[in-house]
Amino acid sequence: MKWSKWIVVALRSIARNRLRSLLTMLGIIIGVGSVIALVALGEGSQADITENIAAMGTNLIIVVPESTDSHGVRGGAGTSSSLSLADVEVLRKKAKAISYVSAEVRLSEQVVAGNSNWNTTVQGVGKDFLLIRNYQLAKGGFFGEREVSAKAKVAVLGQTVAKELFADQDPIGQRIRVRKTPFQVIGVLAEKGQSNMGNDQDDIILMPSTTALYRLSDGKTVRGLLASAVSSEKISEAKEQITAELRKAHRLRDGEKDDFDLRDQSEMNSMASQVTGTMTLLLSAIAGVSLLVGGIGIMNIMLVSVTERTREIGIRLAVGARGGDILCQFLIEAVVLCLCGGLIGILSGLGIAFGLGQIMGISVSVNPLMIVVSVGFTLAVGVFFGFYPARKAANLNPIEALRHE
Amino acid sequence: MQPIQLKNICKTFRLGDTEVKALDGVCLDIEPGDFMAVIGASGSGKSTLMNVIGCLDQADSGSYLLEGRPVGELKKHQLSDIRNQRIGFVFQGFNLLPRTSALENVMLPLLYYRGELPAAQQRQRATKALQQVGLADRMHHEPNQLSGGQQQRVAIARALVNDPAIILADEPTGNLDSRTTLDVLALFQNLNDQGITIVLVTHETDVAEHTRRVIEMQDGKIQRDFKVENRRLA
Ligand SMILES: Nc1ncnc2c1ncn2[C@@H]1O[C@H](COP(=O)(O)OP(=O)(O)OP(=O)(O)O)[C@@H](O)[C@H]1O
Ligand SMILES: [Mg+2]
Repeated sequence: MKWSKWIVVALRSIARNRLRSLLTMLGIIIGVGSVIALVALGEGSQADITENIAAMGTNLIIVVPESTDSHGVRGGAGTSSSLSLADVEVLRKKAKAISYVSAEVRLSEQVVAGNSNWNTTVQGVGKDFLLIRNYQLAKGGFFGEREVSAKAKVAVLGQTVAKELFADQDPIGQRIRVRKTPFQVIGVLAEKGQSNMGNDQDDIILMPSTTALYRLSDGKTVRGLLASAVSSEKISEAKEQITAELRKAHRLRDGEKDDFDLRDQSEMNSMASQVTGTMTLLLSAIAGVSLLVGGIGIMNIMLVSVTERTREIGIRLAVGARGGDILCQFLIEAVVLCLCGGLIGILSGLGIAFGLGQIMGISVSVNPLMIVVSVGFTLAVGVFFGFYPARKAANLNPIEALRHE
Repeated sequence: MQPIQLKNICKTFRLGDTEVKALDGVCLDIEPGDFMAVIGASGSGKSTLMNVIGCLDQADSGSYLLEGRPVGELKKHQLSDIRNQRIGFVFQGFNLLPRTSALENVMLPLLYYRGELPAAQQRQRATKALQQVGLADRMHHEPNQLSGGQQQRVAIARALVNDPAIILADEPTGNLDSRTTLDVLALFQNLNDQGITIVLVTHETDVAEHTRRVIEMQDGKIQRDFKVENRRLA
């Protein structure tokens, strides 16, 4: 018999038993919807973090001073000043596996321009900082080798700082003052947005590392070094070279501990994914429970309707339906019901995910595999508990099916 | 060829230790174009006999030839096709699909008809069958919106819709008033005059007098079997 005919019969049967169909679909909608929503949010936030770490720079290696042990009082990571501007030159000349290297000096300063002022992070960096950290210029230029060696009083503003100090005015060529020292603004950075930790990466002022170190700071405290490996495959080689060169430069003897620490993005990723992994696990557990609850809902409705359906099957058999006709009808009914419910579940799950993502500022990542798995699971439940009793009934004599309680 | 030939049909139901011999060695030949009534006390095996004749249930032993075919040896789907194309069955308990209009209930056998039958023609035949039982104006009502007698007539219409060669009706007038009973009997006599073989179960001698032949059942056996003299016409 024609398939189109069975689809019509199945649709009619679904429409006829509206409440039951709706309750069955509800189970599927809840199961599929919550899985889609939770997994989309979980994976989305994970993707956010990975992307943010990637956006920190290309093949980035960060060198921080190791906490030193002075008189038994240990400072936190990066508190000592075992790194210096000389290290930058050493690495630039000797470490072949790195393409760029820059020092990083970090200060928190009150910055004044005309009659506005703003507290921000001042970063003293090398000429290649933009390439290492993947910043783009929106306007103007950046400083080069000459400005760095001359400790030039030039500054490049982040978007937030530019807005706070100059509002709609063009900042290029304007003067700002940091601790009474006047600086000329030579460029404005393109917007970069929030970092993982939620701080504003546009709330910075960049200036040559020498200027920051000698004109604004104590001339000693280099917060860290930033380096780019020539390629992602060369990261570990670059780290080995950096370690070797810095140990030589710092005159460390064999057996002495490194007085610095290296981190690359894969380590940052794995650190971050430890945190998000716990969250994802939790979300997945909740999603799994929802799917199970949905499945139990479908099961209940299907089981409860078995008696009524067995009578229906008896009637159909009595007027001449073959066992195969009944199976076709029930199979199509189960599939149509599950697909409709699955579709509504997917749509509402995505709706919830995007809604919540918008509110909480997380991106949403849709995993097609999860859709297939959750729809497949509910389909299996629906088919098993709907189709299996139908198959049993279809094998009965019509009279036995009609007498079923 | 005789449409129905039963030889030594037995059917036993077991409920725990007790055995009920619902049919106990029934032998019965029905002539083509016969109109037969089955009477007998409640529990004497009338419905069981009808179910066996209608290929809805199978006998434990004995042989049954339906239009020359050995029913005991047929496959399930062949029995389905016989029920669909040769037999019209009216259940004692109606057995209509709930939440389904009278028209769709009557169309149900046509849904399983193996062959081309366009939807428009299906509707037309179902409408005609409903007209024959006087329910044309209740076509779109669902079973729970119909009286017992009306439901019974929908069940009769469903048995007529596939133009069967044999109509088996288990107390088709049990819920009808005398006026409608006469209408249904007139319909059956009319169909019988066209050559359709009809077997009906009844408790009312009045109804039995409208048929050509009566058998009386008792404890699963045929007790009496006689021709109706002076058949009444409805
Ligand atoms: N499925 C069954 N299981 C057990 N016993 C059954 C079953 N069906 C029928 N019987 C028994 O078989 C006997 C015959 O039943 P049947 O329904 O044929 O009677 P009937 O003549 O149609 O009665 P009524 O006039 O009340 O409809 C009864 O004793 C009944 O209890
Ligand atoms: Mg009976």
